[in-house]
Amino acid sequence: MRRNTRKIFASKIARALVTVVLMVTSVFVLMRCAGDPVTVLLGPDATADMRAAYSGELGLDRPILAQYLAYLHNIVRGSLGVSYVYRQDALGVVLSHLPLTLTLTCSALTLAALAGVAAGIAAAVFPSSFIGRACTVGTVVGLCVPSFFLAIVLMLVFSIQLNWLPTGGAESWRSLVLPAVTMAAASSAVLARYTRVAVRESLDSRYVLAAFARGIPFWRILIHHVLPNAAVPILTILGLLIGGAVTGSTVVETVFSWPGIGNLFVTSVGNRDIPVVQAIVLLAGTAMIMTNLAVDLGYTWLDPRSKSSET
Amino acid sequence: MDQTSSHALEAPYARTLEHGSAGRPAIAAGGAPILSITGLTVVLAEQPETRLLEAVQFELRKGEFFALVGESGSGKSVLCSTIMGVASSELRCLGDIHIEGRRLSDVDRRQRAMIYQQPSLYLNPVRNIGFQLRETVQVLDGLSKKEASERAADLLRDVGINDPNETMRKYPHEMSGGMNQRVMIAMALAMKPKLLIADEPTSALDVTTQKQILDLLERLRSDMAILFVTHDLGVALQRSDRIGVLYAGQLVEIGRADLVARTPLHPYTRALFSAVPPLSGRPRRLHSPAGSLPEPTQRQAGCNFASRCSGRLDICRHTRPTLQGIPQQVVACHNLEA
Repeated sequence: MRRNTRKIFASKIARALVTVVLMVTSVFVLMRCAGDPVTVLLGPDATADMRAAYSGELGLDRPILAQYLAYLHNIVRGSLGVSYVYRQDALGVVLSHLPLTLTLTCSALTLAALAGVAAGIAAAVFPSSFIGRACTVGTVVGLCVPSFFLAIVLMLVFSIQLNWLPTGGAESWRSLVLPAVTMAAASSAVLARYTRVAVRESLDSRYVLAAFARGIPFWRILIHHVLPNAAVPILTILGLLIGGAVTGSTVVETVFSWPGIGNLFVTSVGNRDIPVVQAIVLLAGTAMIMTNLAVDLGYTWLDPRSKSSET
Repeated sequence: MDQTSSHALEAPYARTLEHGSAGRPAIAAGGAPILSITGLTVVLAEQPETRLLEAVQFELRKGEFFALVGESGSGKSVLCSTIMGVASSELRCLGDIHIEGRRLSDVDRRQRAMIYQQPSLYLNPVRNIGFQLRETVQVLDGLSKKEASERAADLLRDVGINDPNETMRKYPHEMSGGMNQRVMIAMALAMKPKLLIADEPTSALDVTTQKQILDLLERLRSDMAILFVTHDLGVALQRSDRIGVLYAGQLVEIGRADLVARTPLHPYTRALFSAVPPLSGRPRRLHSPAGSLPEPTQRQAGCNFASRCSGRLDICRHTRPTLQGIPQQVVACHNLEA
């Protein structure tokens, strides 16, 4: 059994690594498809001499395979080129913005996980009570309202009318509240819906019926039988949300001028700062693959059946 | 009604004389019954005219093995879940269920336990056997974790599992159907029930395992009453003391197993037996009654079986027959004198 588990882990990690290589390759291809980098850098008015000089400097006159290998080599060394705007290592620029984004996404996701899972459980357990109905309506609203709109509404109410919280920036914890709440709204609605379905399904199962028939109290059944079974789909959704959160904060960061990666991404696209954009895409992609890997490994821990069903 | 059935009818009366008062009564069990059901009618709460069970009445006493037979949709599962007190909230129950003389609502839950056709669906897939068994013991008896483990191991030994500690570490998907059924029985035993409801517990098992589980139930029956729901007439005849035949929500025949087998009185019971292939002698053509079980929404005022019955009378169309007969065998049919 334990040996089997180790084999599954190894195969899952190998699969994740293959995915990383594929992603890195697609980024390279996409960057080449996005237009001639020389034109992008120098503008359409550049002379042929300037273009040739720049191509040589960037290695763009070499065969495409050689360029690809050089690109891979650089990635392995951790060098993703120099930012045109900041005149620094692109990865360094991105990493310096990472802590702020992590602060925002971690607080938003914690909030979303707590509120979403609690609302989902309440909606599943008390479907016809006031709290259950409120959760159902709340999740629909949370899913439908776009985050830029919610951000502006929150800003109008709490910053401009009530003057409780700042409209933007990252000076103190108070600037964190509105962006975190805005980000959490949609995520918690998604989580609440999936949690409700998963908990409902488990509550309707025969093992829960049998546990009731054995006289096991409701709260014990909920905690020890229903939630462990519902955890697998909840974990899947949570994994997707975490993976997407690194880039998902783009809109919120822009609206609230939160100086994180999302903000940097929008600015860099505007500035045509390709090395930085590329570094962000690679970082976000890697984060997505790594969370998926963690979720996959989590299944094995949560659901003993997945150990024997896979080879 | 044809000649053979009128002969068949005489035999139980003759047996009454042989057995006298020692014969086991069909509805009323001797002494204080463990389970007593009177006039149990179950209807849909939304549509009270749709009856899933109608005027069901019988008793079970300690040590008794009562087989309830009937086809799918006849109301067997509704009856089981009603007795267990886990019937759907969409149903409304009229009539009385008493366990050891007390109303169902006043009875401690552990007086009755149930095992099911597909045990692996009734075990939590992400918790190991030990957790589920220990939990049951702990909740019921308020034992410490260590005591609960020991009691769980004892229970597994009682149901014929020789390596209880190994088994307790396993998950339901790692075990066979037969082993899971043993675990379910161990959980049922943990409740020290007076009544064990077994809802087709061996239908999903191979014949060898089926025999082992039946032998196990046989061994356990002395302490409780067993209500054994089955499609398998052979098992019902071989193992049970009495057989009840459920048709369209109504018990149409109840009687001592040997009497019902030898001289089935209800045309439906006769049809059931004629649909069983003989194990010895010349193979014969098997008969099954024409038509199908009426849906609960389409049941008429008269006998539910009337539309499929070859011996129906005028009265069968508008008056529903009630159970009547000798103490050892009762039947709900108008055409007994035919």
